[in-house]
Amino acid sequence: MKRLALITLCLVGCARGDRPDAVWGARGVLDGQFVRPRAAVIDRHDRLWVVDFTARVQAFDLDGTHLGVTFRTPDFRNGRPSGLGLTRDGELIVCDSHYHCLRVYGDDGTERRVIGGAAGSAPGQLGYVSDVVQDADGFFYLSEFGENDRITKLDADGNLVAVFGGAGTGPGQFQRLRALALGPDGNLYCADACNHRVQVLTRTGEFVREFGGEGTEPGRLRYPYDLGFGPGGELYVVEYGNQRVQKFTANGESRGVWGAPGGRPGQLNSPWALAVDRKGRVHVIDTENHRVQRVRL
Amino acid sequence: MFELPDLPHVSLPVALAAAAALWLVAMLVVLVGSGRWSFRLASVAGVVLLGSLGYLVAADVRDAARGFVRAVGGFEVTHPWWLLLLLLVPLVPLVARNNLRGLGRSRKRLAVALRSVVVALLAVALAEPRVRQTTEHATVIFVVDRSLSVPPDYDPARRGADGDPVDRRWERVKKFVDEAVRFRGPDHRDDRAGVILFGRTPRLVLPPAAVDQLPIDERRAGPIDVEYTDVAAALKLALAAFPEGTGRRVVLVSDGNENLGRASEQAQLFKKQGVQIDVLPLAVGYRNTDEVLVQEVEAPPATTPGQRLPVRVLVRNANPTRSVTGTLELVQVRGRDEPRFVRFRGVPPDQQPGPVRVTARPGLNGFEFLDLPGDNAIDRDSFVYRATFAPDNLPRDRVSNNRATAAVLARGQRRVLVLEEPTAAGTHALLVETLRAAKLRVDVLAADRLPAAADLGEFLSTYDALVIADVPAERFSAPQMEAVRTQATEQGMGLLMVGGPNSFGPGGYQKTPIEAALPVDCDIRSAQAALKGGLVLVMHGSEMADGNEWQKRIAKLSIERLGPADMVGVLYYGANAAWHVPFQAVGTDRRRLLGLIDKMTPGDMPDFDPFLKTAADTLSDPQYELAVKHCVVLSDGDPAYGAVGQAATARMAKAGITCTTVGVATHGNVEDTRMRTIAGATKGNFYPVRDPKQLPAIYTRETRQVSRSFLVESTFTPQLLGRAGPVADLTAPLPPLHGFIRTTLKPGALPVMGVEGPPADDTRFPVVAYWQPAVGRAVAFTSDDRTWARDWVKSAAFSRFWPQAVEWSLRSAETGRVSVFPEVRDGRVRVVVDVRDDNEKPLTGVTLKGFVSAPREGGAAPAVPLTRTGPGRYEGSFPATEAGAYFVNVRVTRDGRDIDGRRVGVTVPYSPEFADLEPNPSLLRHLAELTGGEVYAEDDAELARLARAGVPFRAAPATTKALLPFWAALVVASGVLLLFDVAVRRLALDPASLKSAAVLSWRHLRTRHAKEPESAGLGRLLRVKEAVGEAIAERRTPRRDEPAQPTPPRDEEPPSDTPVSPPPRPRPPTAPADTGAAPEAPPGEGDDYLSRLGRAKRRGRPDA
Repeated sequence: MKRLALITLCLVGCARGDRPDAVWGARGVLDGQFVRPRAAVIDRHDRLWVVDFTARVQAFDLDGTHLGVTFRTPDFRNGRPSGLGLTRDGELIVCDSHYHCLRVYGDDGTERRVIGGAAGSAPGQLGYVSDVVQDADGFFYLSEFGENDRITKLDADGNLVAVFGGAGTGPGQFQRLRALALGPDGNLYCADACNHRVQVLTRTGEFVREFGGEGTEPGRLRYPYDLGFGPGGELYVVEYGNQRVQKFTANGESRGVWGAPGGRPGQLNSPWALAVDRKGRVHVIDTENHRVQRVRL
Repeated sequence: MFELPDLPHVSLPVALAAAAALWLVAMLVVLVGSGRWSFRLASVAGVVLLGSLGYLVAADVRDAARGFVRAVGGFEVTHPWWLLLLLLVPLVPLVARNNLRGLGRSRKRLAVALRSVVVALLAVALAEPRVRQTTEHATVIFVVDRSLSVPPDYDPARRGADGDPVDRRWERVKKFVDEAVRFRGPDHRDDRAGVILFGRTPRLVLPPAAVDQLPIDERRAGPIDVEYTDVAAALKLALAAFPEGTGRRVVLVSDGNENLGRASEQAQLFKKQGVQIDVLPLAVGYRNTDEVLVQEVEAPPATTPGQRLPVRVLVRNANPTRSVTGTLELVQVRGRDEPRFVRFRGVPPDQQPGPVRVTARPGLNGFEFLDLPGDNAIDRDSFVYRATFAPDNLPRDRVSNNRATAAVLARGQRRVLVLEEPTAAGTHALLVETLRAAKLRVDVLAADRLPAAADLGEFLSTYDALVIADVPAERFSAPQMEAVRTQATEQGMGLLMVGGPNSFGPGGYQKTPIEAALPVDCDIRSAQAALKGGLVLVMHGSEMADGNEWQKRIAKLSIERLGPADMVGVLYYGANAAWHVPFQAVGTDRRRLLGLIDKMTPGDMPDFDPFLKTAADTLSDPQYELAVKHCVVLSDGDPAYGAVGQAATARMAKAGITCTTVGVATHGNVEDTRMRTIAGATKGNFYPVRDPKQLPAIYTRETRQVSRSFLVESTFTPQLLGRAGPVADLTAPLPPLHGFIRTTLKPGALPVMGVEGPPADDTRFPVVAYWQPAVGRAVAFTSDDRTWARDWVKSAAFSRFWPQAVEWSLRSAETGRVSVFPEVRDGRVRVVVDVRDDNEKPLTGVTLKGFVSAPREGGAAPAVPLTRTGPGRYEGSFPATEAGAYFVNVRVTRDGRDIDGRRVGVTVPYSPEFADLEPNPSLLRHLAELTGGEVYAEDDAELARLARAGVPFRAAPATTKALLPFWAALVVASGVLLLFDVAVRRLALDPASLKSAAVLSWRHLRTRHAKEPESAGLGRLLRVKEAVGEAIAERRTPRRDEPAQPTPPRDEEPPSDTPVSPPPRPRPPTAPADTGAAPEAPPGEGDDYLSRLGRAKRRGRPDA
C-alpha cells in the first residue's frame, strides 16, 4: 500500500514537473505574435527580447505581455538575424547573421551602432554570426557558422583581438557553432550543434573540456542550439534534435531533461533557443510551435 | 535599483470574497475550539461573501440567462409526432395510484411528479429536439481589389521607401481597414477581422482573427495577377474563410470593373446565407480622359498564298475634346523571326514600310495598312499582326492597352515539324529524308527553339503534323505541353512520338498533357525489369516560398516518373532522422507512396552529413542490384557539410552514385559553393534555382535518368496485329527490333495497337499504337528510328511505315467551302459559320462541331455548340476573357464522317482590365442592395467617421450557429430522475429529524466547552428536551407506515400533523425495503412528555 502511494506520488510529481509554468505566443505577424521565433535574451530589466523569422525583434515581460516595442533590422532579404545578446551595459545586440555584423539597439529599438559587417574568412571578417557575449572586460566573443566555424574575439570598440576554432570534429573545432554562454567559471561554453556537444574554452581559446555526444539518453545531445546559465550556476541546453531542454552541472553531468516532441504544453517542436531569468526559470523558444514556454527545472 | 516584488493582480471583489471566507473559516475554528460564536459578525461576513461572489458571477449568470432565453427561442423538433406521447403523462398518476400505495402523501406526489417528468422527457427525446444556437459575434472580411483598373491617386510630393510615388487611394484604404478594426468598440472586441487582396486570384492575406489592429502588408500577399479582376472568386474565398458560428460580413473595396467571373451570381449565394456585402466603390466619377488604346487589329482570319492583305488598326482616344498625336506601327510576327513592318496605306512602294506618325481624334480612329507580298511573305505560314501606338506626352495613359494583335492562319502545302533534342541534332536525318521523299514538307527544329507557350499555338497551327523524336519532357514547359495537346486534340494537328531513351516513360512524360494526347500511357503495370534504378530524395526546401507544397509536388513527380521496378526513398530532417519514405521499389500502385508524400513536413536541416551517409549506405548496398544510383538533394545550402558528409560523398563517387544538388532560396555564394562541391564530388549536377517553377523540369530530368525499368534493350520480332491506319502498308513478318520503351495502351475502344512487342508478366506492350481522340490523330512508335530499328532502316518497312504514319495523322482536309467569321465582343467570341457546296448552295444534312484552343489552360470551353440559324448558317459563342490567341476549328460531318472543316484564329488583344476607362460603382451598389449591405463613400472624413462609428462591425444578421441535438441529454436526465424515483420510494428521510439533529449538533458545539453541571446527564437531557420540543412543534411532514403494512385509503388517512399516529423512525438508507419494518414505538410508550423525549433522544443519536 505504501509502495502504491509512493508510486502515485511520483507519477503526480512527474506529471507536474512536465507542465510548464506558462505557455504563450501564437503564429502571426501582429505585435505579440511570432512566425518561428529563433533567438531570445533577457535583459537586466527582466525584458525578454525575441527575434523571429520575419526579422522582428519584440520585447515582452516574463509573462509574455508585449511591451510595445517591435522593430526590424534594416534589411533581411539575405536572411534573418539568428542570435541575440547583451552588452555589459545591458544594451541589446542583434546578431544580423546574414549581414555579418552585430547591431546594438537602445530600449526603444533605435540602432546605436554596428560592429563588423565585412563578410569573409580572413581574421576580422565575419561569416554568419550566430551569437555574441561580452565579458566584464569588454571583450566581445562572436560565434560564426556557415563559411567560418569559429569564434572571433573583439575588443569593446570592435577591433579584432583574436580568432580561434575552425571547422572540424576535434577539440576546439566546431561544426555549426550556434550559441555561446559565459560560465560562472569565466570560461566560454559553446553549443557545437552538428558535433552534438558542448565545448568549454577559455576566453583565450584554449580547449578545457567537452561533454555531450550524439544520443538521446540523458547526458547525450542532439543538435544543441542554445545554452544558458541559471542563477545557481547550472547550465541549461536546448536540443533542437531531441526537442528538449537538458540541465547540466557546469562539469557536464546531466541533472535532468524536460520536453518531448509535440505541440502540447510541455512538448516542443524544433526549439532553437532559451533564456534563463534571475529566478532560474527557463524560457524556451519553441520555434515551430511559434511560442514560448516557461518552465522551472 | 529598487524593484517591486511580483504581485498577482487581484480584483476588489475577489479580495473581499477571500477575506470574508477566511473570516468565516476563522470563526468556525474559534467555534470548534472554544464554542464562541457571534451571529452578527458571521452575518456581516456572510453578506460580504455572498455579495462579492454575486458580483463575480453576475456576468456569467446574465450570459447564462441570455443563452437560456436564446436556446428556448431557438428550440425546434425533428419528429413532432412523437410529442403525442406526452398525452400519456396524465395517465401516470392513475397508474401510480395502485403502485405507490403505502407512501406518504408528499412522497407519493413527488414520485408521481418524477415519473411524469420521466415520461415527458422520453417523449420529447423521441421527438429529437434541437436547439438553434444563433451567432453572437461578427466576422468582417475586407476584400480589397488590387487590380490595375483601380486608378491610382498619386501624391506628387511624397515618395515611398521604394522610391515610387505614394498612392493616396491605397493609403486611404489601408487606413480605413486598420481604423475600422481599431475603433470597433469594446462590445465588438471578440469580433474577428480578416483581409483578402485580389486581382485574378484572391489571396487571404490575414485570416479572420480577433485582433486589435489590421495593418495590410502587401508584401505578405505574394504575387497577385493584377491584370484581371475576379470579384466573384474573391467573394467565394471570403465565404469559405468565414469561421463557424459568427455573423458574417464582407466589406468589398473595388472599382467594380470585373472581367472574370460574375460577382452578382456569387452575391446571390451571400444573400441566401445571410452574409452582407458592404461596398466601398473606389474612384467614383473618375474618368481617364488621358487614355489612348489600340482597340482592335482587323485582318482576314485566314489567307492563301500571294494575297494582298488589307489590315485596319482601330485606335480609340478617350479624350472627348483633344486629339492625340503619336507613332503607330504594324508588324508581322512569325515564330521566333524578327518582326517585319507592314506598309501604311498611302506610303509609296519605293519607300520602306515602317512606323508612321498619326493623329488620333477624339473617339474611334481607323488606320489602314496593306501587307503586300513584296514586303512580307504571305504564303505558307501562319503569323500574327501586332499594332503598337505610342502617344506623345500622355502621362496617365496605360501602356498595356497600347498594343493589340491579330492572328492570321495560312493554308498551303502539307507541312510536318520534326522536333529533336538539341544535344542530338541531326540524329533523325534518315527519318526526315524518308518523309521528304514522300513529298511532305518537313521542317526540323531543336526543341529549345520552340516558341514560348503564348505563341506556340499560332506556330503549330502552321503545321499539319508534329513529330517528337526522342525529346525528353523537360524540354517543354507545362503551358507549352498544353498548347501541343490542344493543337493535336482539338485543332486536328497530327502528333507522333518516336521512341528512344528520352521518350515516353524514360523521357518523363507521365501525367503530362502530351501523354494525354498520345494513344499510350507512359506508365507501366509490370514490375518485371532487366534493369532498375535507385533514387534517394533529400528534402530541405522549406525556406523557399510555398516550400512545403513545392517539395511535395516534385517528390510526387519523381515517384510518378519512376518505373515500377525502380526504387525510391525520401529523407528529410524531422522529429526522427529515419526515412520518411523508406527505400523501396515503386511498385505498380503508387498511391501509398504518394499518400506518404502528402504527409511530408521537412524541418530545418542543421547538417547534410547524416543524410548523405544514409543515401550513400543505401544506394551502395549490393542487395538492391541497382543499375543506376542517384541522389537529389534540395536545400538552401545552409546545412553544414562536415567530415562525415565528405566521407559519404567520397564513397558515393567510388560506388558510382551521383548526387545532384538543387539550391533553392540560398543565402548567397557560400551556400551555392557548398552545394556545388557536393555535386562536384559525385559527378552530379548543381542547379541554382531562383524560381521554383524551374523545379519540375529539373526533377523530371534527374528522375528519368534513374527510371531504367521502362527500357528493354534486347532483340525481338514485333508482331503486326492488323493492317489499318498507320500500319496499313506494313507486311508481316516484320524485321526484328533491338530495343523499345515499355508503355501501356490507353484503355477504351479508341486506342489501337498496330504492332506489339514482347510481353512480360502477361502484360502487353505496344510498339505502334494510334488513335483519334477528338479531331486530331496521334501515333506512338515506342522503338527508335536508328539504333534499335537498325534492321527496319535496312528494309522496306521503314520507308513504308513512316510516310504512311505521318500522312495518316495529318490534319483533315479543308476545301474552302466552309467560312468561319469570328468576332470578339464583351468578353465573348461569337462565331458565325457559313457552309456551302461547290455550287455555293447551302449544304444540308450536316452536323457542325466547333473546337476551341484557349490561350490558357481552362480559359475557355474546349467545344462550342453551333446551332443552325438559317440555310447553311450556324452560330455559336464562347467566353474569351483571357488575352491571347484563340483558335476555332469547325469540323463538318455528314453521317458521322468528317467531310470538311475550317480553322480560324481570333485574338483578344489585351486584358479587359485595360479597356475600362471608368469605375463601375453600379455593380457594387447592386451587390450591397442584394445582400442588405451598406455603400460607403471614398472620402477621408467619411471613412474615418464610418470606422469610428463601428459601421463595418455593426451587428450582423443573426445566422444559425449550430443545431444541437440534445435528445441524448434528455435520455440521461430521465435515467437520473428514474433513480430519484426509486430513491423517493425506497428511502424515507424525515426533515424534522434532520433539523433536530442539526440543532443538537449546533448546541453541542456551542456548549461542549461550557462547564458541565454536576448532574450533567440531567442538564443535557433537559436541553435536548427543549430542542426536541421545538422541533416537534414545528413538525409538518407526515410520517408513513412501512410499505409492508396496509395503508388506509387516502380519504381515511389521518392528517399528517396529527399526533395520533406515532411517527416511525427513519430507516437507515442502506436497509432494503423488504428486510423488515423498523421497530415501531411500542403501544405502551404513549404520547406523554417523557416518552416523546426518549424517542427524540434515540432519534437524535446518529447510531440509533
